[in-house]
Amino acid sequence: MELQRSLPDFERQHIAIFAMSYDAVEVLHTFATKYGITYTLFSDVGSKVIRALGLLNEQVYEQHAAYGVPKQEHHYGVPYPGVFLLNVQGQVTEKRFQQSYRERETGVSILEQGFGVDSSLHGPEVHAQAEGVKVRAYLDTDTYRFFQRLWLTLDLSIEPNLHVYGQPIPEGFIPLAIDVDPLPGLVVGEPQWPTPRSFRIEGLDEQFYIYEGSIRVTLPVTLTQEGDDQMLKVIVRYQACSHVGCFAPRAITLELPVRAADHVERPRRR
Amino acid sequence: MTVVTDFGIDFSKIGPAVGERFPDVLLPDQNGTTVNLHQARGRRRALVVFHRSAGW
Repeated sequence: MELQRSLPDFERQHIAIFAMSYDAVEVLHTFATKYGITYTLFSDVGSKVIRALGLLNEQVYEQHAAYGVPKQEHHYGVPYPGVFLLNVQGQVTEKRFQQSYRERETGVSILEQGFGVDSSLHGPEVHAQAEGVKVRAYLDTDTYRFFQRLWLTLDLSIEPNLHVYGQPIPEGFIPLAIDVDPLPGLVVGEPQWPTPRSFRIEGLDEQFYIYEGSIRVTLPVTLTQEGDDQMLKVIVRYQACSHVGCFAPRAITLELPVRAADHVERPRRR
Repeated sequence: MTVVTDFGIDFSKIGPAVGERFPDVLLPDQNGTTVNLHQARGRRRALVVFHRSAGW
């Protein structure tokens, strides 16, 4: 299971992991032995605790129907899929839930996006640069399972005395933008932008927002089709300016490989 | 192919709320040992994962 790969990182950060499902102890024991799971798997037979917590997935049949999975009684009792993050006092600091059990986050993204700590398990880093801006990009894992939510991280380093524009932006100016080229089944979510600084240009009435120095932008990507190894093509568009003038608009292209997990874990299957 | 990923569920209203202490959990683990979540957590932060069956 994917989370087990990140367990050493969680342990280094003193974060305990507990998982819960409605399975019997024997089922969990077989599962844990087969996949080498060493964190706690709670057995909530009859979904009593899941129900008491208000997490019983009332829409499981509807969700299955949407994916073409026939109705089966034993599917009832599953919780909504997601995670709770607890602080040292045991209080909930964040809930990260998915609309459907098919979507899953990686251990890396829970660590980095949720707990705000670094993971040692990034996908390979890709570097590129153009006038005034250097970009380092990586996915939180170099393998994907279909419907697993991956996070793409872009670290931009903007040269001293230069800035790029954020949003909102007056017409005719070019904001920093990130696009991912379409792939079959690829769903790209909204980028998470840092807060830009407000900025005035002498002689202009309009309000501008800019980024300077080092900034991090993240965006969720989900590959919804099972299948082949993919290449994510990411394009960073911007216009770098100083107090006296601007460079021409630029586009930096980065290519990030992502392998289907099946090919890595069961290479002999295909 | 239509990709259905949004079932319109508002998770802010489902389950323990942000800021609340996570309720006590006392259940057997994969080895049949009864585990108290908060006791096992000790003074650590924690991730509590809810997932569908390990059997299907």
